Amino acid sequence: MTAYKSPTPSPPERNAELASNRSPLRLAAAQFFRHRLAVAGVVLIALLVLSAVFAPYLTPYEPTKLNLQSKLTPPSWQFPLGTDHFGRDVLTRMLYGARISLLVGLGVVVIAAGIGTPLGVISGFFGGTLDNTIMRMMDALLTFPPLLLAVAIMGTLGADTQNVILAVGLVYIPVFARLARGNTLSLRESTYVSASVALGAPNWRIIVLDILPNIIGVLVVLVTVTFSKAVILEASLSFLGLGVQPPTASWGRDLNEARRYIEDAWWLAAFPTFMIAASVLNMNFIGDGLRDALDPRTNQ
Amino acid sequence: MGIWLYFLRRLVQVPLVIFFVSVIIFALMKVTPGDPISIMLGPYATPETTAALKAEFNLDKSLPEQYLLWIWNLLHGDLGASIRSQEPVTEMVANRFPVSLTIALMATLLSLLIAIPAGVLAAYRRNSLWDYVLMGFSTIGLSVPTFTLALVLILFFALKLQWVPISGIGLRTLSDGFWPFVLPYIIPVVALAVTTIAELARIVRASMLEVLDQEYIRVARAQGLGDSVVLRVHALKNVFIPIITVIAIIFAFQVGNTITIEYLFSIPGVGSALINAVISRDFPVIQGLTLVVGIFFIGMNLLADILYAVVDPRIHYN
Repeated sequence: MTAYKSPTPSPPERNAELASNRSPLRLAAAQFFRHRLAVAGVVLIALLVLSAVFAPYLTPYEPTKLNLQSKLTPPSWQFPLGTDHFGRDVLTRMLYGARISLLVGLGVVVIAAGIGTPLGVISGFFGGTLDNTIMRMMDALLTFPPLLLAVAIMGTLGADTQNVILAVGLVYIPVFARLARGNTLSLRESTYVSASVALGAPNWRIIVLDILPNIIGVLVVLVTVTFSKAVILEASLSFLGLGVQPPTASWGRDLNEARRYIEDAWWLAAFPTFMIAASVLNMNFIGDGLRDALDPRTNQ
Repeated sequence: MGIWLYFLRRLVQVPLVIFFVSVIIFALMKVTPGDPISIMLGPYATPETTAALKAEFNLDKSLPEQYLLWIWNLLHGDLGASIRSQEPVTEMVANRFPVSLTIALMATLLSLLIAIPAGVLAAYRRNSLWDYVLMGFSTIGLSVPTFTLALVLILFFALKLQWVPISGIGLRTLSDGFWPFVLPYIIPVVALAVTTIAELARIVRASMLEVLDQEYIRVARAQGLGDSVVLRVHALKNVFIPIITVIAIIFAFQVGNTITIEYLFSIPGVGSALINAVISRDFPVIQGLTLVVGIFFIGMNLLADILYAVVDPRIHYN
């Protein structure tokens, strides 16, 4: 018997739902919650956010206070994840590092979506030379791999947390602009817009009421993807010494400092690695679930 | 006829993009907080030396003039010299770029070797255990930063198992024997390749799925052709179209990704030069390297567009 299978039809639940009269939002939500991985992702990320926010209450230790007496101890009851070369509790540093990663991710997404989306929508809506100019500028930014561009920008601005957010945000503006523009272009020809134009609606009204609500779906997916990429970029920049500066706790930064002690103190490298991988993995699951729920083109 | 017009239009856009890239790089340098002259001179900053150095670097002229002078020098092959070592940037590029390119090339080849069969297999046996396992690895591969993976690999294979050394790229030549030459490359190249394998496998799987769902595949099977024939003769050919177009971009991005790896393994490439320049605020080097790398990427993007137009016979450009 051949191993090749013909394309699977969509599951009967989805068909039944599509035939019903529920709103698109309810349909999308139902589809999303059908993804066990995505739901797990939401739960775990929520856990991460809560731990980051309530970090001071979850641990008796300070993330930056030196405690040279207990330096480089392996995981134990007193220090569940061990201590680093300054005697700082690794678990505490992981929790406070989560704060930094989440903060950077959020800031980056706000900048990239906040600036990129309007740019893309305006560019796509009005077209012409404005469109051409804006898109060539976006192309100029997009030719560089994100890390390279971020390194160059950090080199100019100087390395601290705020600049990391600015630099990485700038790197992802063109991504949002491109997506917004593409969707705006196709929506421009849609019946919603033609109807509004026929009714004499001013441009801004068309943009806000017809175009924006229809691109939100893909934007949300891009937001989750960008969030996870921002976390990775922050870790990379901090690893290179160009991101978050010591003594502030950052997973990437801690990985850099773990290099020297890696042979004897495996826990210094293992736990930041786990935190980065787990966070990004869960965010990617959420992104996959969202994409399946909100993107009308998916086929399995 | 249409395809030549497309090339022409595409080619005309390139100078505009290069212009914006140069403006961005120039602007980056001018936005730097602090006065580079006083940084450079340190305790020797007197009014005379400051004025002299300013004139030498053209910093006493207006911004548009400075930009034009910079471009003029560029067109004459002068990218400036490192503030620290006085080494001309063009020499730096000539020495270091090939190293980064080699590593990126090896990583890209490895990715192709692994990702294509993996993606094809996952698509062919879609929704089976193979599919889930392979795509599971792909998801994990996309979630781990390259340097993190490299550290883990170092921990296991270099330190615990002692199978491969950590550094040593460029220290030996082929005359020392094949294995001693190749060994130091293994961990860096593998670490670099993993993210690309993850992405490429997904792309291969997606396009394979699209191809397999086409009518002509069904027709071939209805005619009684066996699996392997269908796969080889009909399916694989068409999967390669999007892959070929993506390769140039992948290669370009690999070159960018080598930054952390070069830092970690002390590889004398463009990435580590850039990092050192950033740390020591060596502006001519940052400017020059970023520009060269930027133009390289613009070229790769152009190549990808051209390949796409050439390889896909279905596309008409008018």
